[in-house]
Amino acid sequence: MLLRSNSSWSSSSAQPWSSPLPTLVLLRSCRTVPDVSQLHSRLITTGLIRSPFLTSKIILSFSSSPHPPLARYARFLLFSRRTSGGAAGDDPFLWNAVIKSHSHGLDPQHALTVFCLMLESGVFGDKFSFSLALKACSRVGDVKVGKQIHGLLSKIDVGSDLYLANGLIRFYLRCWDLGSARLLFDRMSLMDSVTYNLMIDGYVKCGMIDSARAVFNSTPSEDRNLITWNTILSGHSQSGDQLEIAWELFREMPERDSVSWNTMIDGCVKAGKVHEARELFDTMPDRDVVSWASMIDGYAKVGDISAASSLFDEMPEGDVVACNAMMSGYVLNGLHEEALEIFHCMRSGVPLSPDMATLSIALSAIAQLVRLDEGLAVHHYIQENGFFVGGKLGVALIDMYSKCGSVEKAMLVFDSIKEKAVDHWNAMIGGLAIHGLGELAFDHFLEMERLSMEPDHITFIGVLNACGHSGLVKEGLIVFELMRRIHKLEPMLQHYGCVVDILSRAGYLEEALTFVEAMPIEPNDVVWRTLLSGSRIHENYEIGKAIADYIIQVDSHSSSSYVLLSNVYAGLSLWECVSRTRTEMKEKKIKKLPGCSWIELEGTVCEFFAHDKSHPQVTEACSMLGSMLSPNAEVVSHTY
Amino acid sequence: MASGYVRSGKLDEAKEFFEQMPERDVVSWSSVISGYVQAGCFLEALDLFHEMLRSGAKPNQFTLVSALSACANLVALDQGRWIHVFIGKNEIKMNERLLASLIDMYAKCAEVEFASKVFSSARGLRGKTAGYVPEVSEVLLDIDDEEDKKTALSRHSEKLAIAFGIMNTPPGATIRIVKNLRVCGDCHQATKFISKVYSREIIVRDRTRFHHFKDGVCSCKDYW
Repeated sequence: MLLRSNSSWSSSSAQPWSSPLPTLVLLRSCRTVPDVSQLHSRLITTGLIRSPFLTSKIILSFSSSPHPPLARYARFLLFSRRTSGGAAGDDPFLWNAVIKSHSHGLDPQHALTVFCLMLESGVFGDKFSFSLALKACSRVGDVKVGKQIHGLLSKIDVGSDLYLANGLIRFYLRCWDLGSARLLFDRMSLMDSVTYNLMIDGYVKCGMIDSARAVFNSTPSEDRNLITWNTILSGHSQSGDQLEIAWELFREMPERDSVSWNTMIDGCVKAGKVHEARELFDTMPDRDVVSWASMIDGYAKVGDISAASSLFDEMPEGDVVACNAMMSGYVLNGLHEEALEIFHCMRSGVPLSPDMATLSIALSAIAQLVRLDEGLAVHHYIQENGFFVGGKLGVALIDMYSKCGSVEKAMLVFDSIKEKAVDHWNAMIGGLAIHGLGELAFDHFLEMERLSMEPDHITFIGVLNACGHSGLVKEGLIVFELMRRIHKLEPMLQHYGCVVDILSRAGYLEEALTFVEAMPIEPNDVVWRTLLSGSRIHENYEIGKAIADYIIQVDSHSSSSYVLLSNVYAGLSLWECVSRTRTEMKEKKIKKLPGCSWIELEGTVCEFFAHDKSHPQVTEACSMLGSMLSPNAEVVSHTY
Repeated sequence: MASGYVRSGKLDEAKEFFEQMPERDVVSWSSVISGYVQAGCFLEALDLFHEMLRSGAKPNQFTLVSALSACANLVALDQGRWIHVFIGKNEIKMNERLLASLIDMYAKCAEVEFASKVFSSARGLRGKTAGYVPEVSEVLLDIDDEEDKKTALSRHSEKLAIAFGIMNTPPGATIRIVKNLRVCGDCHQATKFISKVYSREIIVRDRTRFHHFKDGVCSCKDYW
């Protein structure tokens, strides 16, 4: 019981029962619903529920509490005063506290409800009330209500207030209504640094660097602060081709902070100029985790994993962000084991623990290694630690299970996600596709349509792949037309390639060729090889030969093309052409990529290459296989 | 009752009940032996197996599978061979599971040649229903001799990995293989054959998709 367990109670025992002091002392101990119930009972029995001072104190204290029961009680008290006709007064301060608990909380929509209740109660509110309501609108994305508030402000002639004007600009920018924000900006007679910074930032986020620069240039020097410079710097540095301009700005900056340096490092990294990034890194006065992570990421992206790893080891102290950067770099460079090694160190919890990004990267590595058991262990870790799987983590799990061969478990994860995003659907459809479950993938796509879940380009790649793997020609063509005509998505090269695959694989080679010739995008070697492969499978060597000859001309260093060409010639019994093709491969030193297969047994990965005998048991395996393939093998029953 | 105790993992109770049985049939013998194997009591399983033989009871395929599994885990080659001879002498019909256990035993005891011969006998036994003929047209290397082409095919990485998996996993275990390229037609056909003869589910992920091989059939329905 709160009253008995609180150690402060004894110090208040001398106070009269009706004194507010013991209640004030108890406020600090409130955490749970029972605590609130105790407090409420005390307020009622002492009559303090009618004390404006005390109830105001509680409302102000509880409305911003991180404990939901307390925040709810604050709202209850406020509404109780309103409905009981108590002395709620016309002071919006208390109302603002409650509105803020919503606008900055988990349910910003209710902030608008409280805002309306406040107005209905005759409390008009102050500029902070309107500002909080606008924040709620931007968080909810409710442009309509935000515009209504803007209209109300104009009517009461409060729109000229600088604080509110900035709030309105912020609202429009966050709702991606750049035009309205600019209109308001242009009409403002009084502006400050916040105003200019908001506008510059809005343009930067929309990729309108030139407009951002124009606002920056028009910003009075006295209104240019560090944020202004950092904002425009980030715009130019992230534009790729404007890195030089970013450098100029960086040199001109009257002062710099860690954000400035990190912005430049990140810009150089993204532009592939890792050496310039390193020079900045080495010169930077006070490096932070962002600096290290950006540098590690940069080295990894250019393939210099050794440098990335060295830098990672040099870090003065560990950090989850840097660990994630290193893991991601390893995965990017195909070093999945090394990525998992970091994960296992982190998972021990000393000194770091994995976050959601860590887990997603680990699952990605596991998917590539096809380590189902390890994936199961990570999933168990996720469940034990209460990670939310409704977001990217769910996508990673679905993808991992699919790529580890367990489509059933992938579907279980998918079904467990209550509010599925398009990425979840994409991962599931893609997983069904690679398992040859085309009908099921198609059904999932239809379910998306039924639920009005808007598909994206990736969705259609997945569905088309599924149709290709399962011979669903009619369905595939329907999906392709749906993408273009209903969803107004312009097909990319991959989509066209998928359709070619659907037709070729099913033997509709003439149709596939016609489709390729009609493509508005220039077909690449993959598309042509797809068609070539189909012609070989269905022994249409006339088409195959023509395509093969063309491929060799435009893609003369692809071993796949030569191998396919050789097969086409062999099918035509043109042995001289076969020989010539092989000779040409040798002359150009084109080698076929050797086949490699691996199996994991008891945590150990055993790798086998075609015609390679490096594995200690390969001789035994060959012996077994040789015997298996021999048509003259003796029946063992006669051995004894 | 003995079977019930075994299924519940109460081996001591099963043994006690079994010893008190006035008449013991092959089912009860097999159940307790199998329970011992599943519990990892391989020596006890073999002891009971031999006690069964001394009692005059005739083991069935199920019993022999358990006994062979115990031999495999104990690397008891001599006893495994003895059982193999016993199978032949008593003309016990070789089913897929028994065959797989026999091959597994020889493989675990490092007798690869015998394992190969047993495997080949499977082909002989099922030649008409599960035959495998190399598709030499799949050979992409510059090889002229047909026999050399067949040899080349048998060295494809996925075949080696599958053989390795079968040699090193217990009967019935799923084998998961990853390959960096597209599976060729010959390997696809061979894997179907192996999945049937060995009674193994073999899951292969190649560059483009998954293939689930089971009972001689692939999930791709030969459309890849």
